[in-house]
Amino acid sequence: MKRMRFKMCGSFWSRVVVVLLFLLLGISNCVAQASSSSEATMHTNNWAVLVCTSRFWFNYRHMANTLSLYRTVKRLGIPDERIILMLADDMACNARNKYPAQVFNNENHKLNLYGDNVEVDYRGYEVTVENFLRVLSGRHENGVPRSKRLLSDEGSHILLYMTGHGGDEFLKFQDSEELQSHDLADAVKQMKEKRRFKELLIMVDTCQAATLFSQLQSPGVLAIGSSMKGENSYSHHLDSDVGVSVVDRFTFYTLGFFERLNMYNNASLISLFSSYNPSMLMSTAYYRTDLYQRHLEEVPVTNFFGSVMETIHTDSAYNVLSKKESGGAEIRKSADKLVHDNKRSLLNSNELDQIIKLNAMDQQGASKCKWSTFLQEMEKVKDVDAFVNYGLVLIVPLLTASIWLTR
Amino acid sequence: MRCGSGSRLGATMLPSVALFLTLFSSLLGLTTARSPYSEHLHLQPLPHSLLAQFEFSSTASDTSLEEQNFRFFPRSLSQILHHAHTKELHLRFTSGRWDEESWGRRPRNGAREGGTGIEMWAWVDGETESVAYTRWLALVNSLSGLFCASLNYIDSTRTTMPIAAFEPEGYSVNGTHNLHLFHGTLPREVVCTENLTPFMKMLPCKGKAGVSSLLDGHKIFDAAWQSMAIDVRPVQLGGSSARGLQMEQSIDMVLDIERSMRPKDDPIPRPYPQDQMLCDKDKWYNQYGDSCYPVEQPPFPDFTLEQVFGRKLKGTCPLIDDANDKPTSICVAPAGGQTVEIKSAGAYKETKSSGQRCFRMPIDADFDVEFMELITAADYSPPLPKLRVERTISGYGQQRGGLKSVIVNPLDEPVDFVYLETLPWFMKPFIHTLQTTVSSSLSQGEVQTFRAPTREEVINDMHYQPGIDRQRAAHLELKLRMPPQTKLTLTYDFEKSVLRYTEYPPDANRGFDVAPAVIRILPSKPDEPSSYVRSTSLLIYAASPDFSMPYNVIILTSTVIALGFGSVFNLLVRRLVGAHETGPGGGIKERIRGRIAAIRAKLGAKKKTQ
Amino acid sequence: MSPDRGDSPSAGPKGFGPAHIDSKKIVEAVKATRDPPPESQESIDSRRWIVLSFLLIVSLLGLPLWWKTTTVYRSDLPYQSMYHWDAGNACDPVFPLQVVLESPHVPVDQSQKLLNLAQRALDELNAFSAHHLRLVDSTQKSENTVLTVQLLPTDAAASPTAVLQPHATSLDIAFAPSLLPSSSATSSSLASFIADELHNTFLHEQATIAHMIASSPGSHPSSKPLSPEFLALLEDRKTRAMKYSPTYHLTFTLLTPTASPANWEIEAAVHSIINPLVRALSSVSTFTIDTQVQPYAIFSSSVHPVHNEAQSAWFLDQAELGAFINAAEWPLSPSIGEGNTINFLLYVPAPEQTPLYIVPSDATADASSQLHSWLLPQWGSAYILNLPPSALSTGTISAKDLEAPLLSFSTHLLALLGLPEEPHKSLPLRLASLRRTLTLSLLHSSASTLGALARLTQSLPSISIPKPAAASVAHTLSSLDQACAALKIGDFKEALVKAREADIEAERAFFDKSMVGQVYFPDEHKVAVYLPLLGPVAVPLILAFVKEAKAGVACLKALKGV
Repeated sequence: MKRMRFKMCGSFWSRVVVVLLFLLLGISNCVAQASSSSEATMHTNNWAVLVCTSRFWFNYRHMANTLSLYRTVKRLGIPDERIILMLADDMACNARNKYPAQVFNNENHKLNLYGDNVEVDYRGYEVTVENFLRVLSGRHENGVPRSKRLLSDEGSHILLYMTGHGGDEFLKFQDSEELQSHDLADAVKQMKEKRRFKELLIMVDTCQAATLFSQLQSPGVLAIGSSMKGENSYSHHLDSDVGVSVVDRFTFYTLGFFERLNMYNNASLISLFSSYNPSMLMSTAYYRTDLYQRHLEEVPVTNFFGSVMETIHTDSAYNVLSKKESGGAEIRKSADKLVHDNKRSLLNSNELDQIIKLNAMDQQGASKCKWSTFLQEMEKVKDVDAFVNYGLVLIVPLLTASIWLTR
Repeated sequence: MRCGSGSRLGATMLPSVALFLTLFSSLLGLTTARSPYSEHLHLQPLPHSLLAQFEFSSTASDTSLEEQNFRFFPRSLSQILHHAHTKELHLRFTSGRWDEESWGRRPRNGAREGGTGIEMWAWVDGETESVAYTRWLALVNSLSGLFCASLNYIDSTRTTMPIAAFEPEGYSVNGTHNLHLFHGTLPREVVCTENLTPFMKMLPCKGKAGVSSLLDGHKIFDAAWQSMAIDVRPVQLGGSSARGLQMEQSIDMVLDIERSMRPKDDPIPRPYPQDQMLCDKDKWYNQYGDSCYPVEQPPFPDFTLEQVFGRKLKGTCPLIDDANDKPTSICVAPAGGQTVEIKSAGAYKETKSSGQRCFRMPIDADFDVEFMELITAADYSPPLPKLRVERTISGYGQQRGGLKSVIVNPLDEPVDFVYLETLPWFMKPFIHTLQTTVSSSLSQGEVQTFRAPTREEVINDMHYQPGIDRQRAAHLELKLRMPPQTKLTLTYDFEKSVLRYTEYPPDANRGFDVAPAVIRILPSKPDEPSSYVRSTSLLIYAASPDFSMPYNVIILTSTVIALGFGSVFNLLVRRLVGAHETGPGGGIKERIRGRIAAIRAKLGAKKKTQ
Repeated sequence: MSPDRGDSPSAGPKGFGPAHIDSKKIVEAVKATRDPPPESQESIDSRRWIVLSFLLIVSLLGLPLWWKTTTVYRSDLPYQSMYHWDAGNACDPVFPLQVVLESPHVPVDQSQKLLNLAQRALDELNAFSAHHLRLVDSTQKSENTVLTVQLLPTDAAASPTAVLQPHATSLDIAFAPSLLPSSSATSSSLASFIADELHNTFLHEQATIAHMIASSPGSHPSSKPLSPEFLALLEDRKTRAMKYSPTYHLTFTLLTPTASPANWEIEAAVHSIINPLVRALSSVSTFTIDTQVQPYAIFSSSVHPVHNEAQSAWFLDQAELGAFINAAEWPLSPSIGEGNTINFLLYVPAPEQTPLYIVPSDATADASSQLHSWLLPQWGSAYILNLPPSALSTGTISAKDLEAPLLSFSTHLLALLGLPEEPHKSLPLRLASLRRTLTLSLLHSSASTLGALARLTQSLPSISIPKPAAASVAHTLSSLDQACAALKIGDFKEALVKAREADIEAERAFFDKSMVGQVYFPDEHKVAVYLPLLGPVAVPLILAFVKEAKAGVACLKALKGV
């Protein structure tokens, strides 16, 4: 299953030692040089990285999710050259597809997501964890064309949407390898260091999506997931003609929110986040804002999901340099309106921990066995190094006992 | 018998004369002066289906390319070609299978189609082969970005350098000796809308006018067989010394009429109600009305282009100019005796030629062709293909297998052809097992006189380059000769090597695709273009591990190792004594007891001291 | 303790031989436990050797092998200097601008005097030490000279006048000879006039550089605060300008919603208008020019021109301009190869939609001043060309009709390259000033890239650092030093070249393709991999060693005791 792992396998002690070394010599720098600027830079352009990580026909809905987002961001103005679309399999021209070259996210078949203008950048076997990390970190093989690169700068807003089958702190790619939450956090950290984005919105629709964000540390990152730890994300409805479920609940309601918008009117992020109804989702949408500086009320969704090219009218050389403000005042007004409408039970990060504790409690109640509680302790342990210690601790008594006996 | 076959041959030649004509003009680059842009559509009804051949060609002079002033020649593609020093490029996106039995000879003699999936070959300029190869890689990578396909997977393990299977079509300058031919195939690659999108963007009229307005992804990728081709070759402009590049984009497809006339929103076939069914009245049980033996649909039903393509044909693209050697923009070659009606508001020109009617469509006016139903088409026989080939895998098991391809020559003239096979590196063929058996497909009477040629007579020439693990594909190229009306069976065995854990694709249990074999039929006359036939691609099953439990494997093996080590080590360092010679309490129980007793004693002693 | 008891097992059968012996005794005798026979010394030694050799093999061969195979290659980077550059301590850039004072018609001593006075006046005016002007006389003229001041004595002019040459780096100052300072004068109005002129000429650039240095990390606060509108101007320029690249691809595209016009005489127009500009800019970057024609380019669904009967014209709302580019359908893909692509779109509306204008920002604007071109920051620019039907009928746009668009494109090009607006008159001076600011920004960007790389490799200890990356880092550092040195001596061409090199190499180092990979390997997986093998192997080894060690210690003690 974890094939990639074996390439990296090992380097455990060495890394421990290296860590110690660098702790000794590097700490001061690391702390001192924490990337400070990026507040100064202005928002220049928008990028979108849309990833469907699962293969095989019965995962039709994941491709439909991704294509729906693709269509939405295109409709809201992000040009194709700034969208990196990764589709792990081909559903449109799949032999099992009754509707050739068409993909639907609704059984009414009103909207063909696979219209005349679709540009897939990474498809099929190309959608691997390695390529995904390469796209994020910008470290490509030689000769990779520009259309397959994420060429964002320090003023860019990036939308990263991922959907697939996931679990606790991982997301499966192609049903054969995993993207760990650490990998994601490292990639984001590298992007931040190189100033590859100003703000990043990570949107994940998978089971236990919230756990994927647990390792993120970089400032300017906003994350929203379809479900909390221990929760599943469910599909919305099944299309009896296509024969499989065609869309997931979280994405379905996200689209429902965006269908009401056009390129110019501005709803705020908070109105999007608060539009998720746990009873409809059958899971609890979780968003993490502690790394994000601005207030969600003031951020229009088109800051991530769309892009209106800023224009400067210059008939003669330089006398006209009046930049157009794209109606900031309206933004705030609409935002305030939308904030006050519904205070749904959407959880923010500090409530999450309590929930987890609660789950842990009643699980303990269910199973009195000490071992399970021990496991749950392990669950809650933040840094996984504890696992190693536990493992080694297990050896020590073995050794001592046997020595003692054989004297 | 002979004359019968002869007449059949005549019938074969007749309808495809026009094809030959178009081929001459299109294949031989150094023809008359080419207009910057021209487009053409050729329609030919086949039993229960329609063969539509789109062709768009645009030319640009070298000077304009140097200055990068692009008019109709696509800028993106020419920049890539210039970047990769590619002189001639052939790119194919094919899906489906051409049904030779019912459709007969392939369109354009197979020169504009590829094997299933994606196939491309190009002549790349380079001082040395390695330089050219790096440029080939650059070409493949940038094309993958342009056409939204995984072309970048054509690496060294999928690239071969054929010797006799391909020949440059374009005008070749004497100076350019250091051109290198590279050929790569992706049999697994799906062809879909994202490949058509860039294709359409290259057209000047972009599907808004001209024959390209018929192109619709939903129909193309619903076709029983379709092949998109892009051919760029150097040409000489107007016989003068000025040279340039000509790009020819072509899409050939065979649409199942009944299928493509279904409503787009509901393509799922539903049974007709009883009263709408056409029943065969000859069957005695049909008279009661409760049962029905449906009569077969006529092979050539009534249909219009708009019904089949689901779009209107919006007249001529105004960007083609009349000073053009193909003034007609659409040609129709109806089946014998089939009538065709034109529906158009605008004025159009018609030119009749042998077996086909060609039209110059009006500008800014819709144009539609209705094919009338043809009931009595019993005597319809499709033109015979030059060769028929089918390739299968024999043998069983996951280690060894055999490959068997059957090639049939239905014509009564001998055929010389080149057989190119590219095998993935994990398929290791044994060439010493290569065998050819030729049997006659003639009737009994003449089989007696038939003498099966020996292997040496059949295989005139052979080139084999064995594959290298993870580096190079095995490349087998045969030059064969077949007597008339014979069947050649070509077999050899191969061995499948086991891949590394990380080399398996995510869906390894589906199997591995083997690229189709390419057959180039050498022309009997020197001025004829050579025609191509491709076999279907193969799916071989290689042993694949259980990907779900690598950790179990690790733990098990390391435990075994540890056990072995422990026993050997103990044998070496332990001293063996008789059971009665061991000290007090041999067993572990006694020891533990002894220990505890000792500890108690100690404690007791301590207490006493206190 | 006689040796024959060593083979006591073989004594059993011997004893059993005679039947009359009572078997009970024998059983007891067998059962009776005895001490194991003592080992021969050589067997003890051999056992010790075995244990020792095993230990040696494991510790000297196994562990190093394991270490070697499981460590990722990390070549060592010069972290200190990298952080030094990133913090901005390695080099504080200075811009000594050499200005030549040419005075052919003035006696040498007077001109020398004038020079000294002007220099003093300049130093008084100049508040910012990093960017200062040095006046020299014509004998010291070199290629580093930034500006030449021509002193032209004329009797006509009452008060001195200064004229900046538009196409040369020279400032002509006409004055009355009476103004020349006498040898004893401590101040001269002419000198202060010259100083003022020079100072004003470079004021804009100086403020820009001051701002850049002030906003860079580890900078000492700039001398005097800049005016907010000036900051806004800089911000504008920053957001407008493309990211610098050594090569730019200029793509001119003719877009028409219908089939015609499908021809334009772009070669001639580019040759006459764009090429000279590009030649002038070639000292900054290299430019490639390509043109294409795209008929049937229709608007995207979100753009709807409205017809205005009063002016009998069509109007685009300014809000729609952002969506004007129909990226989905218009083939405007960036050019192949390195470098950014700047798009220039010439849109010729359909005859039935001509003329097409943009709704002016203030409604009072009359129809005469119609907006029909705009700039897309960091992307390119667009121009709506409304042609009369007569021009449309031919299907070809003449070079004359192309002049106006290309002129506006050329101004847009300058804006997109971030060319400073001041000094307004002279293009060469603006270019030189752009070169200096570019050098500075390149220095900053490559330095910050180095810092990012250093922080990254230290915070991700499991990421590999390949040799080429280390080499690029070294190269970057060296060229950074050279650039800094070149700045000090005022050789700005060289400085730009070196700074460019540094930036490219730094990018190469950071984006080395082998520095990616799944760096994170969960520790529970490590336990699962290592424990089953190492645990069972380690236990007997260590046990045996401990045992032997104890035995050895014991016998040592015994020897001591004896």
